[in-house]
Order: sequence, then structure tokens, then C-alpha cells
Amino acid sequence: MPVRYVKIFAVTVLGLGCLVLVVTAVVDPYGVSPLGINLPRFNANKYKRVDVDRLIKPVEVLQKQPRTIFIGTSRVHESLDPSRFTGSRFAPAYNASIPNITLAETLGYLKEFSALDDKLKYVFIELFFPQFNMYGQTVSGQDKSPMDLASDLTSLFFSIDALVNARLTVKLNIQGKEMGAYVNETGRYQFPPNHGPNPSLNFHGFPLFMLKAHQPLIKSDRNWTLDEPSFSMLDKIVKFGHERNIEVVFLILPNHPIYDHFYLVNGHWGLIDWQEWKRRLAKYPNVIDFSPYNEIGDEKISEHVKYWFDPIHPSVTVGDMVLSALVPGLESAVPQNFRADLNVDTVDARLRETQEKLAAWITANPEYLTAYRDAVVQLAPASAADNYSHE
Amino acid sequence: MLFNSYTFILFFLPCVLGGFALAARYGGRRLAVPWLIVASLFYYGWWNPRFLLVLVLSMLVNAALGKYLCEAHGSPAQRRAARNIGIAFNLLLLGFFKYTDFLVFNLNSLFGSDIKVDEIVLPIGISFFTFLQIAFLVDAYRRDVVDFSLTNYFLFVSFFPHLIAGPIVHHKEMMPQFAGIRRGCLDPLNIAIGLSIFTVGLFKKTVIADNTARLADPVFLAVAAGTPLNAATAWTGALAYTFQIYFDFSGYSDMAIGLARLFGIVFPLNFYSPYRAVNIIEFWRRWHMTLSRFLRNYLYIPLGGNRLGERRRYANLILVMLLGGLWHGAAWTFVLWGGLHGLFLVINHGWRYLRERFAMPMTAGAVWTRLLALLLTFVCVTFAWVIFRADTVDHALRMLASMCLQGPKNASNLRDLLAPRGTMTIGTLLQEFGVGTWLVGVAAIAFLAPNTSVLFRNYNQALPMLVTLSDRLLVWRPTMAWGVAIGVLFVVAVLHLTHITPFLYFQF
Repeated sequence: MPVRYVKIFAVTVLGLGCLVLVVTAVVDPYGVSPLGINLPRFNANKYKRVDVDRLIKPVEVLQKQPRTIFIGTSRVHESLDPSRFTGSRFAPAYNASIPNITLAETLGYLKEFSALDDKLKYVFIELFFPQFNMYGQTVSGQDKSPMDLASDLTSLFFSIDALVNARLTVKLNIQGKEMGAYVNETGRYQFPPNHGPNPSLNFHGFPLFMLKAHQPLIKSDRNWTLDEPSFSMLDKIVKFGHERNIEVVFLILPNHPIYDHFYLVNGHWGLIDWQEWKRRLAKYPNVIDFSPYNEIGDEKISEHVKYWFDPIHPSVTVGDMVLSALVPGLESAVPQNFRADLNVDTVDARLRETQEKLAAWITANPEYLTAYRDAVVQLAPASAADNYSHE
Repeated sequence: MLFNSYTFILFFLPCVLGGFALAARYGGRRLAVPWLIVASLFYYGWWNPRFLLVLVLSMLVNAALGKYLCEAHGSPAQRRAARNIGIAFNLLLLGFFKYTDFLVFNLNSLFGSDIKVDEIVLPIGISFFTFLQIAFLVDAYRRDVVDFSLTNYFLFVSFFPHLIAGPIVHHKEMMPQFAGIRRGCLDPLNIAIGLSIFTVGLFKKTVIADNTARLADPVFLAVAAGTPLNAATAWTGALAYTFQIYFDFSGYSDMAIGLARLFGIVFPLNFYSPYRAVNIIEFWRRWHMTLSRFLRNYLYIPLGGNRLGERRRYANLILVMLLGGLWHGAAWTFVLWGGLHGLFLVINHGWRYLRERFAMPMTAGAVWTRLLALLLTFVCVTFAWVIFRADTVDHALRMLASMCLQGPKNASNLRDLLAPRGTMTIGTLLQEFGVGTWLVGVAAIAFLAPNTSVLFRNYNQALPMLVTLSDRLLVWRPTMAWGVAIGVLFVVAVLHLTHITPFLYFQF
């Protein structure tokens, strides 16, 4: 009796396990199955191919073997379209960005992608100020092993999430539900066609969102000093690229003045830290700065904002400008001071210009300051005065 | 290497079990016991090989002293000295690794000094194997140890199913079993029972506890970040943690019991539906039963127990629970948690004393009074868990204030915490069921479903207790239907392994 019991247990486990694998591979909720089955009203729309970048990006790099890869935060994730490189020496390209990625993780993924992709030649890596001084920066994630890919594949094909998402994928396809945001086949975060910025939420609501998100940090006495391990990761990235004969280019994407203003008034950024950050980056090779102020930052906030999804995330239009500024011959009109190669010779002038233009923007936008004050009062009436001491 | 990992389930366990079967078949106990010791040390060293030295040193010193106490013909004073040296050695080892940072921090705070020590990494499981060996030395001194042999002793301490987080087994229940390992001892019935109990534990951990943690963690993180909470959110977090820690730890214990059973070894019970307790005394007879047993036999009774009058009894209870709290971790929250439970026990014993004194009957009351008592006990335990889980006493007090409707008006609700701008999800399973349904379901399992001991009562230990309908109906047997059911549970549990989280009790 017990022997039969153990056999039945084993058969159940094996049978059910195989069934799960077949279901997830056929339905393919994340669009990574080697079977590649895509049937209308069954699984053609991959509604659940979103927020799974850490899992799908290594698998797709292995499958697609791109020559060029973008690695960055949600800013690159949403704005840089690799298909713009078609026909250039960078093609084929793939957007391997991961929202909230740290520099340690960037190094880890760079190593992993390099191991998975024999054709990898160019890597564009975003450098974002919070990666150098926000809380949550750690050195973990800088090493990846083949077990990580095995773990990713298990999550994508043999997990409860995969199974539930397979069911939802079929259900939503049968219902013919409109696609929301998802990660498209180039790895870029794709908003639905009619998506536009919501001024009241994304821009006027931005101060409250930022204040809420940064509440613990604002309350603490901790200074947002530059994070040395992040620079050490940067050193390792440069070294790794050199050793593997991969050309690494660092990108600093544009910031909206609203975003810069937040750090400025909270005193934690203090232009001193920010200036220090830029000066140190200027010592690294291949750092291209797209953040100088110009018409992109000065764009009036409305329902038809062209250059921004929200104050943190530049739009695909800006992304196209960035890519065309990188590859001569790509068509896209860019402002005159759009691209600046950051180095020790240019950094001071750039810093001065940014500082002056931010001050001018603040003066020219008193209504935004009022919105910011309201947000501060709404969140913490008692400490409202304190928050303005740095203004 | 966690029990709830692919590495353990797919590689380590089959290898050790297969090796054990071969060793037992061709060498009997002579090969099987050393094989299990080597496998257990490998298991321990997987986490950090350096700490193998701590474990091995601890085992060697205790084995030497234990052997002396078991066999020596020394004077009582010499034997007492050997016992005391052993206890001091164990406590110093535990104290160094577990409490140095805490001590230095408090000394610095108290005297304004600036003593600096490098961060000391706690060897995993040290609290458990230290207690285990102290109990052994005390009993060896009392000449109360049977079947002592060095190999059995090493296996008793290092046997991987209990090494990291218990149950705190006793040499009297282990040594004879190890001595009984014989040729061809891999019994199909034990395999069937062990596999099934392990599966139930794995399901409790990966499906119930880990998903419930997705509700508890954001709430406690928000408190730590200074975010004000409304009462409903605070209660959701507190209840979620109350169920999480139960399913996490009892799940771990079931897995340990199941694993041991695969090798034909029966472990003591560690949990027995603690939230069905109708008073705190009963709660501690059902929660982490092997720790309660250790504290009672090796601390409470030597302190005088209840033999020196009521006042002394209450003082002993408080002291034992304070130390029990401190055993869980080097932080004031744990001390406070222990003290609070000590206070609950004192009130409970005081109430009993008064009822006896005024000749009020102690019989079980009507159903509604029992339900009321159960609810009161559960609420007290939940409040105490908030202190246990919080990072600091201040955070705990803020959480408790929110639960008592003292939160500010602009407090955050659960939805804000669980999905801030869509960047954090609560997991597909919780989304499928909904938070409320999930918590009700989990509570129903904790309160109404048969516990593992009751489910396997035909083949395992079970205690007489208040039985529910499901207790009567569900009895595991090695039948085809149960084979399929347990197989399904296993697959569902394994499908959750992609979110591997350590067991809560590993940190203690």
C-alpha cells in the first residue's frame, strides 16, 4: 500500500508538472516561449508582458542575440526605441532596460548579457542621479550565474504567476480586451496608442507624489551624499567593457525642471552634490549628456505634452532625438544644445548654464511653486515651513 | 540551502536519502549514521562554510564534557564544575555571536561611550543547537542520559532536519532512535508519511505564509517609514503577520518532522493549532512546544517553578518569558514581547488562583464563553506579535496606536501601500482571491482545519484537543486519493518556489 501511494504521488507530481509546462509554453503569457504560438482570440495579445523585465530581458537577449543593448531605468525603458537603429551599424538593437535598476544590477546584467550574447558589441548605459545617492543603493546584484537564467526560466514557465497569467491571457484575449501598456518585442515599454500625459496627475500631482515617495528621506537628517559604491560599480562597468571589447557609452537623459526643482527645494540634492556628481562623471570616457535646458524642458504643460510622459520620463519623441544624436544620418530635429559630450573641459560651463536656467524656470513658473507649497501643506502641515527654508 | 528551494528538494534530499538507503543496506548503522552526519554538516556549511567551525567546535566541547559526565567517576564538585563549564561555554558562544552588538549598542547609549565592534554575523541555528546541548549537559550531570555514543551525539546535534530552526529535540527521544537505525531501514510507510507531512509543511510555507507576508510586509514597512496608517490597514497588517508567522514556523516544523520521518526518525510535536487556545497558558502549550518544554524543564523548574509560592511563581514566569523573548533576538522588541507574554501568563494564573480560592468552577464553559475566551486570547497574541515584528519599540507603539483608532486623519489605506503607482503588486494569487477573502480563508484554516498531527493521527503523534468537524472527517491514509491530493499540493507548493523567502525563525 505505501509503495503504491508513493508511486501515485510521483505520477501525480510528474503529470501535473508537465501539464503546467505545456500550458505556459503554449499560451506563452510573457511572449518568450520557443513554440511562438500566437493565435488571435487565444493568446496573440500579451497583456501580462509587463513588470517582468528582470525575467524576460536575459531570455530575450539569449534568443535575439542583439549587437546593441540599452540598459537603464524606466526612463530608457519608456523612451528609447531600438528599431530606430535599423540599418545602422548598431542594428539589431534591443532595449534591455529594467525599471529602478541600480548600478550594481547594471553591472550584473551587463555581465550576464555578455555571456549570453556572442554578437554584443555596443552597450548604451543610462546614468541617473538617484542611482548615485538615493536610498536603496546596494552592491548586490553585480554577479550573475547561469543559475540565474535557470531561475528566470522557471519563473516564466513553471510558477504560479505564469500559470495564473496564462489563464488571464486567454481570458482577456477571448474577451477582446484592449491592450494596456506592455513591453514590446524590442524590449521597450509601450503605452497604448491613445496614451497621453495626464497633466493633473502626472504634472500638477507630481509634487505630492514625490513628497510622499521621499517622505522618510526628507524627514531624516541623512544627507543624500554621493554613494561611493555606485562609482566603484561604474569603474567596474568601464573595466568590463574594455576587457570584453564592448563599446560602452553612458547616457544622461533630460530631466524636466519640475523634477530638478524637487531636489533643489528639499535641500538634499543641493546643487553642490549635483555638481560634484557631474564633475566626477566628466572624468569617465564616453559620457553623453542630454540634460542641458532647452525647449524640451520649457514645454508648456498641457494634455498634449510632446516631450514628456511625466516629469521623470521623457517621451519616445525625446528618445528618438537622443538616438538620432548618437547616429549621424538618423532624421530628427534636435535643439542646438541638446547633446553635450561631458568631459572635464565642458562640465563647468554646462553646470553654470543648468543652474541659471533652472533658476529662470522657477521664476517663470510661479503657479507651479504654489502647487508645490499646497502639496507640502497637504502632506505635513506642521513641517511645511521647514521644507521651505531651502527655497 | 532552504527546505523550500529547488536545490534542496531536487538535489540535496534525493542524494542524502539515496545515500542513506545504500549506506544502511550495505553497512547498517555503522555507515548510515556517519553518512547522515556528513550530509548534515554539508547542509550547514552550504550557507557559510566558516561557521562549520563554530558548530563542530561546539559539538566537540559538549561531547567531551558530556562523555565525562556520563562516564566519569569524579567527585560531585568536579562533575558540577564540568557541567557549569559546559553551560558557560555554550552561553558565552551564543552571547558572543548573538548579543555582543546589542550589548555594545546599549552600553554606548547608556554611558555615551563610543565602543566600536565589527559587525558580528550570527551563525544560523546557533540558538537552537546551543539549547539542545545545554539540556544534554544538564541531563548528563543528572545521570539521565541513555545510549550515549559519540556518533549518535554528533548526529543528535547536527541532524539537518532540526539543525537550523528546531524543533528543539531532546536526547532522550533521539539517541535511542539513532541507535535503532538498522540494515535496510528505509521503510516505504515512513517514506509515504514523511513525504506527505513534508508536502503539507511546504504548502503552508510557500503558499499560505509567503502570500500572507505580502500583506503584512508593506504595512510594517510603512510604519517603519513613518507613514501614518488607518485602523483597518493596521489591523490587516497585524492579522496578516499573526497568520504568516504561524504558517511559516509551523510549516517549517512540519517539513522538519516529515524529513526526519523519511529516515525513520520521529520528531516531537512543535505546534498544535495554537490559535485555537482559549487562554494564554494553553497557547504556550500549543505554540513552539519544544521551546516551551525546554524553558519549563531547564529554567522555570530550576528557578523554583510554582513550588515557592504564588508571588515567586509569577516572578519566575516573567523572568522565563523575558529570557525566552531575548532568545528570539537581541532587541528590546523581543524582550518586550516576552515580558508581555509573561504578564499575560501571570494574569491567567492569577485568574485561575482566584477562581480556585473562591471556589468558582474551572470546568469548560458554554460555547459562547469559550469563543469569547478564544477571541480574547487571539487578540492578546496578535497585539504581542506586532511588538515582535516591528523594527523598534517606537514603530510597534505607532502600529498599536493605529490599531486602537489613534492614527492621524490623513492616514494611508491598504491600497496605497500595496500598489504605489503600480510598481509593487501583491502577487497574482492574492489578486485572484482578494485581500479579504484571502485573510478569511487563512483564518479558517488556522481555526478550523485539522493540524498536521491530527491529519496524520493514525501514523503520528496527536494530542487530545477540542475537535472540529474537519478534524473528524479528514484522516490521512496511504490511499490513492490521498496520493493524488498530496501530489497536487506538492506541485502547487513547488510552483511558488520562485519567490523563495527564508523562514522567519532562521533569524533566531
